[in-house]
Amino acid sequence: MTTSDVDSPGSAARPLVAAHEVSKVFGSRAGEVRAVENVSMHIGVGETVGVVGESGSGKSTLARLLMGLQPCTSGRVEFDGQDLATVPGKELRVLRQRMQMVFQNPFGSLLPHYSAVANVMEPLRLHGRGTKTSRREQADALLEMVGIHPGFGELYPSQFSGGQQQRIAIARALALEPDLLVCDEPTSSLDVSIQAQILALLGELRQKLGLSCLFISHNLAVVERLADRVAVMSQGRIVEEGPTERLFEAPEHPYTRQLLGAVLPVTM
Amino acid sequence: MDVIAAAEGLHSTGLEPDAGAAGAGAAGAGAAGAGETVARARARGPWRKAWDRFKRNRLALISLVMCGVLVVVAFAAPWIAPHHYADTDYEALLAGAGADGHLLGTDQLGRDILSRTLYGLRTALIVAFGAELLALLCALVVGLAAGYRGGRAEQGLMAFTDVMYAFPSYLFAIVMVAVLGRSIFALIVAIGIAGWVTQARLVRAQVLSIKQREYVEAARAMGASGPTIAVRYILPNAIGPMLVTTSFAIPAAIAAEAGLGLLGLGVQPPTPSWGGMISEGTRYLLSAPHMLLAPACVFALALLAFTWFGDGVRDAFDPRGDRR
Amino acid sequence: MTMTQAPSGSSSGTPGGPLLRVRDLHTEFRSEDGAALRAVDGVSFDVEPGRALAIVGESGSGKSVSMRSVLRLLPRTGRVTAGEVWFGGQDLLRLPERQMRRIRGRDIGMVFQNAMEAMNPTLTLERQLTEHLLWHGVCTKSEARERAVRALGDVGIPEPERRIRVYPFQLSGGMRQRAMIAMAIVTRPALLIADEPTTAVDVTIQRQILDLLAGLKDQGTGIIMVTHDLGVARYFCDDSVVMYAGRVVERAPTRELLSRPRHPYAAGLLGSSVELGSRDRPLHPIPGNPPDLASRPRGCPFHPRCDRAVLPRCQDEQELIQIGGARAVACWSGGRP
Repeated sequence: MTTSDVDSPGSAARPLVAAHEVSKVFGSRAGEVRAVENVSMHIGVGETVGVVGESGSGKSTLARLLMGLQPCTSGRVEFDGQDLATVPGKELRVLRQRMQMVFQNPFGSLLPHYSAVANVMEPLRLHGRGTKTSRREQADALLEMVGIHPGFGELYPSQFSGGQQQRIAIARALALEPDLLVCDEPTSSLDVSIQAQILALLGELRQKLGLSCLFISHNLAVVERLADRVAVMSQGRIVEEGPTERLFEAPEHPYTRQLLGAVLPVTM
Repeated sequence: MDVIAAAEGLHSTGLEPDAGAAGAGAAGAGAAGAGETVARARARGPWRKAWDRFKRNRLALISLVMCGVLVVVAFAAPWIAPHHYADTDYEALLAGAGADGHLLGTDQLGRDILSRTLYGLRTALIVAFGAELLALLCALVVGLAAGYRGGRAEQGLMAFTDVMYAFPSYLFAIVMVAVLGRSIFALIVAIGIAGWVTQARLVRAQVLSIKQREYVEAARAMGASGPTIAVRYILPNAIGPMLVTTSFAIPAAIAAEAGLGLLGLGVQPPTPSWGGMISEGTRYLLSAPHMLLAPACVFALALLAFTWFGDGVRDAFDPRGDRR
Repeated sequence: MTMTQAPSGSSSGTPGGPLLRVRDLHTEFRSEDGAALRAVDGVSFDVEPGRALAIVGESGSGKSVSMRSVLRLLPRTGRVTAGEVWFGGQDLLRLPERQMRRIRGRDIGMVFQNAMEAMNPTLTLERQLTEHLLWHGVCTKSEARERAVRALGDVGIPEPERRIRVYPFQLSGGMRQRAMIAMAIVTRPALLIADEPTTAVDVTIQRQILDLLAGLKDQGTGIIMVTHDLGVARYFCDDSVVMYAGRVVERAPTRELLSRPRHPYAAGLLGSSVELGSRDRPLHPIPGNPPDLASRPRGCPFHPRCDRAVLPRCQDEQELIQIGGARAVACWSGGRP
């Protein structure tokens, strides 16, 4: 590190992503929906932050606000110091390379009319990285990294199982070597045994690539396993936040306690 | 992958379950098999799947052959027709079928019915394909813009199409012909313009529905721009149903051309048009019924062939049509 | 929450015997290209009155298809090719459809995953419930409404007198699930089949729904709970059956299954389940992919993914072997020690 620490991305002084009192209100004929209300949070470099909540808690909306996919109604989101609202469209698209997302529905998130390897190459093509050959090589390497034999790259998404589709989606998300990986319920639609594979994969990749991660889920046990810090959301607000171990062992907010209490144990 | 879903529409993956993969750690545990199994699986994208479904439908294949034959015959009409369509044979006026040199007889001016029918097929197909291609292109451009951009563009389109709906299409075609004159070009424009509106709305509906899919959001997250998303990701997926509509629109256009010909608004004589031939044939119905029969039968055949083809295309893209 | 009458459905014919006996059920689907997929490949189990049986499995296991086969609610592409389903002294598979329709919905209740899809959105709860009762000839017109209100109350819907007049879409998700259960139990069925009824609801509501079902069990109703969630099985199901690729691979009382699973797949399922408080315990995912029914491996369907597989032994068909008490395992080795 030659430059001063304050300027290098995500130093101790500056988190990678920070939300300052963000709110998102959706208007419709039926009235307003306050999906996210006055949320402040941050994700440090190399940190995995989990956001848990039930349906309607606003966690998915928050993820999209943090990625700049939706504009905030109020408040601001900063990525590496830059206020996303002030970044013009074209530059925002370039900035997107540093934050990528893995979605809940693996089949739905892949382009159905592109082969698996073409799906993985697409972000590279969009941002003009390398030549067709080099992109293909990179895509093959990425598929290998997530456990899909590159020989299957020509097949189309519908020909893979759910778990394999999610692997392809993860490979695609990693193609641009992002700093931040946002996972929105990445295993909720997968079988239990496949879920375990994907979680193990995410854990490994996160370690290997030094990713910062935002992990959204309604499944408390999954979040406990992967996250360093956890935020609990209910009705658009963060009701409690803290280091994972502390939050799960000694929850303070009654809603957190209620959520934890409702989880069904299996062996313990 | 629910079994019921597996049987109802998704094809089996054709991939062997992994036999003890020794991948790196747990992550590698999902690795999809060794080299030998790669050769067995064949890439089947959505177009390939539709084609496979089409192939399995016997009626669709038959109709494909029929349409193919019609198209080839129409294209080759100038070479295979025994006479030019305007050649008059004064020695054989209103001759019946099987007359010397005139397989299907002649009309009141001594023109060979068979040749005129073949040329009529050529006219019909040129107009029908031309019109529907024009309609499809307009519909795609406008529908995509309206569906994707929304806002004023969409409202404008919807208002415009509402106005066009209000016009009876035949009336509109008549006006077009009056303005542009009686030529093949005029007919193509007239019939095409009358039809594109419905298709544009369909495109818009498709685009709206596809916009909700996760892969569109994923594309935005990847940093794709609006036009890229619209053209590279949404359009190819919206085209499927449009092919179905277009396939059904072709027989409709054939009928429209014949109808206009019947009204005396089709192509200028002596260029043959089935509609014109039928109109004349009706006048000589009692004395020379063969004048009416030939064009009418081929007309009906063409309609049938293309309609069956449309059915086949629809079933290929939407196989759940008749499921419980 | 009380029910004022014990279930009136019949038992399988022998007093004190199982409520439902499924023997060697086989179901096939015809896929688009004509191939036959064996979704259920020889499944047998019993359900006792007043007890709950969990049928545990993942995608492709055949658990939902088995239930639809028992109820004879398969889509046109599916059919039962072999087996017997004994209920009330009759083989349901051999009954004429008319008689089956009387049993379905009256003596056997069904609760599915998505309440919105199961109920008619254009009819009020009152209409749906009373019509259901009247169609099955369970009671007279004057009694029907009262029974319907009572059923809504039994499932824990507050102010049932008032709520009965609403439409399904006016209820919250949890209430809708309860209403769906009310519809299933209003005829006092002897057996209730629930297929993933809590998968689509939040975790706090899930517990309430399960408590409701546990209460029914205490009243004497037999329950089949189809689920992929071992936590749900543990919560109130007395016995469990684990299915894989259309077959039963292990059968055991739930507590025993979860503390000492024998079949490698069952053990793998447990090893890969993520639990609260197990952050430091490493996950052991099952390698490989879920079974492809179109190209099954020979013999044991799980052996390609099994870390204790021994060829060619595992390529022989595996029978369910009793290993003492109420336990059985479909593995020649008798499973893990």
